[in-house]
Amino acid sequence: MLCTMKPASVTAAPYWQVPRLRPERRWLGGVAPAIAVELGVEPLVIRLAFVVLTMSGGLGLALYAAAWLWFTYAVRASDRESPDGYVPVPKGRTRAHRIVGVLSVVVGAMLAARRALPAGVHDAALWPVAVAAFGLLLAWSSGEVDWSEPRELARAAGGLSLIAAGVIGFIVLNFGRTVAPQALLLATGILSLVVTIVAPWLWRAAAQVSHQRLERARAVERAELAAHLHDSVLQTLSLITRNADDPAATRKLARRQERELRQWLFGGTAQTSENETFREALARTAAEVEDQHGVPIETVSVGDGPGTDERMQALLAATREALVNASRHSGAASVDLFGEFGANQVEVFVRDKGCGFVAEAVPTDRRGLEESVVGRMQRMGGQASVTSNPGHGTEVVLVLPLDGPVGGSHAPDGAQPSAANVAAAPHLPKART
Amino acid sequence: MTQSDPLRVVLVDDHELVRAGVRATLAGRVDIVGEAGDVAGAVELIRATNPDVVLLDVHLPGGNGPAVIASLPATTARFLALSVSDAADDVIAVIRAGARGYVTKAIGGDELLTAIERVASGDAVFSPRLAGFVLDAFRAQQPEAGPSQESDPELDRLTNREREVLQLLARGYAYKEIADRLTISIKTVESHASAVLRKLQLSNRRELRRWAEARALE
Repeated sequence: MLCTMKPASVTAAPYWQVPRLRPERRWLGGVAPAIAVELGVEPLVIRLAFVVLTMSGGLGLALYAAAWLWFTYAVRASDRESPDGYVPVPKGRTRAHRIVGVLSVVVGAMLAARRALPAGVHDAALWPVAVAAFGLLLAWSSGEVDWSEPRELARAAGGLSLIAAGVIGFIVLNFGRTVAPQALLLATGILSLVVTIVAPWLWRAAAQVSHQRLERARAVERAELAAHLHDSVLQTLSLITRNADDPAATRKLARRQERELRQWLFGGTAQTSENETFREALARTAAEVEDQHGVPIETVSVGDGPGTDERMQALLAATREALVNASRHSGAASVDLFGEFGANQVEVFVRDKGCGFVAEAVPTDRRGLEESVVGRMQRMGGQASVTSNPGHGTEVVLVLPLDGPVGGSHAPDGAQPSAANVAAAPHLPKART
Repeated sequence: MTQSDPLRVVLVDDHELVRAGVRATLAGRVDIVGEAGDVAGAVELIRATNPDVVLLDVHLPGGNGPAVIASLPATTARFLALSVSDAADDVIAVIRAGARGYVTKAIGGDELLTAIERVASGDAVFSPRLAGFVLDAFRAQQPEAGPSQESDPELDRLTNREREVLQLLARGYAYKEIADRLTISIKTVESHASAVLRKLQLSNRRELRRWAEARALE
């Protein structure tokens, strides 16, 4: 892990700042490269200095530890946030910093006490007090209490146990073994007192932390939403502004945006066409036809299942053909598409309330419906029927049995095999004027 | 339905633009007696004006559409949910709270007027999408009610006729067209629709509960 990086002093800070530790450049704590960056020298120079100071009396080690505690911890940031690509994180934010801080406070206090107290006292009193103090600091140092995390709980419990051990040790060492039961009792009492006092505060702290976490999650979500809206809706709005003179283009843009936004809000993840379900495939087909022809298609689907096999592809192709036909020729303001993936069969209904037609009067260029829709469905063992009522619209019914390529299936709603272009079909008997 | 007085309608939607659009669409055809933009305002307004029909947005500040209905247990006003949302839980929640129908904001003026009249006369209004949701919810043959949930088998399944009517609604047929198609009267179609609405509101089917609860948590 030899660090050969050059100090990043290209854009020197205008003022001196607390050296920042960069996690990716370190040998130990990252102190040497941090100082090196500020001074504009190679990290190796600083490292050598530390080694020399350590050899001559251990001062280097102490300095290193002190520097590590003091320096700001830097984490990599995206380039916008900070000119040198790092953002400072206040010291004490990381767990290691807190624990080392606690340890050095305890050790320092012990060393000071050893000098101040008479010789006989310190062994009996100091160590238990130190253990208890360390436990207290350990329990306290868990700044962000998160009870859902077992490690946090273990830390708090460990800290409290150390306090208890310290208290018991103090009593036993100073007043003899005979008082051990009382000591235990006393320790338990003190501990429960501490818990009683501290618990509500911890609870509040935990609640606050989870609240903050929620806020942060919300902020992230908002940012994502803003980004999405910018990429999609705002772009579309500007396109619409530019195309204001062309109603058809404007309508198409608005409709497409509406669909995309809906998909994003309610539809979950966007699927690729390789593994899409019947519902998704139907929605995609409708969307594509709508984009091409600009007639809104209201899609409703019930039930779901795999939508990728060959027969389903044929059904979707037939659906597309029917949708295109309705969009292009019916003159209707919108087209209704209903698909149902049932237990035994898949049904698709394409309906428009447009002009309708009479079979004999259909010009040859519109025979596409008969050939591509009915033929396609029959080859896959399904059925198609086209029912049209001049002046009242057209409905194409597609039925695909699920049990095999060619099967004796029963058509719903009296749909008959190859009953294409049945004008004024039997199940629309009433004259509607 | 064919009263001499125009229907008295209250408009509840937090978007002024939408209210203006609906107002323009319905101008001269119904009597819009008031507008509100949030739950508290809507409750107060409906209490004060006692309208025939409330056009109720599903999403509102200070609660949601269902909250308005829940705050007015004694009102004689009938609610028609109006929404841009396609989420099943939104729609089912407001229907289960007591709305008698659901239409999207993309609906045309004539269709909206018909829907208002139908709701005012106590009938149900199903958009194709709502019909699709209902078919989906009642699809599985076995109701699979929870172990402790008392469940009424009558409420937990649709009759064949009701299914037929719903499927035609989902295919985009109007009530009149359904009546012609099934050679029954419009009144019969309406009563089927009302029966389905009742099941939608009272059934304990898992999907319905789940959708309604997903919304109630907010």
